[in-house]
Amino acid sequence: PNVKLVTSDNEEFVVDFRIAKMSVTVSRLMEAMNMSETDDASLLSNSIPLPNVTKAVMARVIEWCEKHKNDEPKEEKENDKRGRTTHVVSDWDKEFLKNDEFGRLCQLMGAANYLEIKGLFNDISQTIANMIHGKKSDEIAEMFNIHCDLTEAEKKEIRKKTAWCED
Amino acid sequence: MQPLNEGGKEHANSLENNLRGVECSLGDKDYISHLPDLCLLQIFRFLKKRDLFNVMLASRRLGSLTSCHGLDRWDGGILTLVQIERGFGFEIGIASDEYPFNTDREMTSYQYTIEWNEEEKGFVEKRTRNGNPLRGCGSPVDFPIPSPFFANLKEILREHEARIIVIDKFRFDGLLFSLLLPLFTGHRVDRLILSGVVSQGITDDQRRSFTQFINALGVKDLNLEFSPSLNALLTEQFLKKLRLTDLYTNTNLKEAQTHLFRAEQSMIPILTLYSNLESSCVIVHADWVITLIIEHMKTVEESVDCSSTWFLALEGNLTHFTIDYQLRGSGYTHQRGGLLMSESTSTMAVLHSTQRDDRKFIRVQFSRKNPPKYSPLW
Repeated sequence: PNVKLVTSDNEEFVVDFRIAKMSVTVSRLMEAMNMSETDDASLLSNSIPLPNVTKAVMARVIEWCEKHKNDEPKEEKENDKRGRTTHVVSDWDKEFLKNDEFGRLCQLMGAANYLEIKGLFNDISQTIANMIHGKKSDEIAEMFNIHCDLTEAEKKEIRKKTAWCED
Repeated sequence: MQPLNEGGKEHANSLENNLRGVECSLGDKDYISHLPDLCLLQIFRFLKKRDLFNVMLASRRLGSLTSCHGLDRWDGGILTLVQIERGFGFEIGIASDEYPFNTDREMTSYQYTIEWNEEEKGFVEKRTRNGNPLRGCGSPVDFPIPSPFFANLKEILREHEARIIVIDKFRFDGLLFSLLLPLFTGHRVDRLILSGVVSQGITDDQRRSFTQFINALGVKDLNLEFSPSLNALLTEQFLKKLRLTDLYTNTNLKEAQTHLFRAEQSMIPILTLYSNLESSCVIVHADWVITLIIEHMKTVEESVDCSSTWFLALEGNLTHFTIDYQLRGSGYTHQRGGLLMSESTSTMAVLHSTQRDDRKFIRVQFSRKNPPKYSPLW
């Protein structure tokens, strides 16, 4: 059975029921609209509006879901032994995310957050975290084109507070 | 340089592979600052403390999120609370962030003391970074712990995680633990070591607030080895309420004589949960000690690391007859050299019994029957 998803720019995507279910948000909407896998009429007569996702981003989300639709539902361990979040990004996912510009990656992350697709959300979080890791604050600002709005006095205060973290 | 072992190398490679991430073109706009809070927080969850500090300096919006509860932690700190000569102090030592590329950083420590100054008739606070370790002083202080001590401790614990707590030379009282408890909200403490802590007799209230403290912090390993007067903590209720896997109390025989805890057979399900249990004041009976040991061996069967030790006082006579009687139908056999094992399982135990000053003790060494083989370096 197929489900119709409509993006903010009025593009209709027809996807497999299983793919649609991968998004917690879509899942909830289908439930609210009494759409069920066994009731073809309910699926045909309804479409799910997704006002926060554009056509271009939706296409990427569906591509990711297609690849992962047969994944075992894995219990994502929230923390490793030392209490730090860990998540392994598969090689396919790395290759998949490589093709996006950073702006698109952020849009994709926004969509994964809105649609509640945990695997994709974590993939992107880990990817961006890896970009940040090991860089100094000015390198981070430069890399992401962040305009630093902190005054020198504020920076000094933060440095003082975090002094024993620096070399 | 030779790699230590191939497995380690492989691990490092896969780790590096995972960390290399994605190089994508970054464009010329500030996209990251426009991500919703939830997204940024999720990204920050994958970062180390030091990276978070760098993010903090990048902009106000990003910085404000890094101080969210749950992110602002430095892992694996060792916190020591000390009574010093005319006051109190604490020290937190934090080892290097365990990030693979940054493993050789030295320990950083922070000390705080608050002391009564007779000349100024007031308390003097002192804070140092990487200063001399605080030395405890056993002579009692005749005033309660001043409140700035708790305020400063709270501040430091908000920023840094205490994984091990050492309490040194304090007087044991329930109030201390009730006051400390709220400061550790959200912390997971593995080990609690009470060293040189003295008690003048333990009340049920004290025992209750101490138990509450241990369980709320998630302590698994309690060490009372250097606080013999705390042997008096051990009662059936106390052991039943705790959720420990390791317990060490003073095994100095003379000191341990002052308080003895005679465990009933009904305690078997509680005692089997301990990996390490070393206490000369806990007495088990020869009539059921073997049953207890076998029960423990069954519980550790699945665990990877089951090498651990028990040291307990023994009542009654442990003879071949009593051992065989308890082994019947268990599938375990008793062999020469005090070896206890079964055909079907991979755990074994070695028993030693000793006798000192009219008292009998039993030491049990648990281990794997076939320890994992280490491949040679070359």
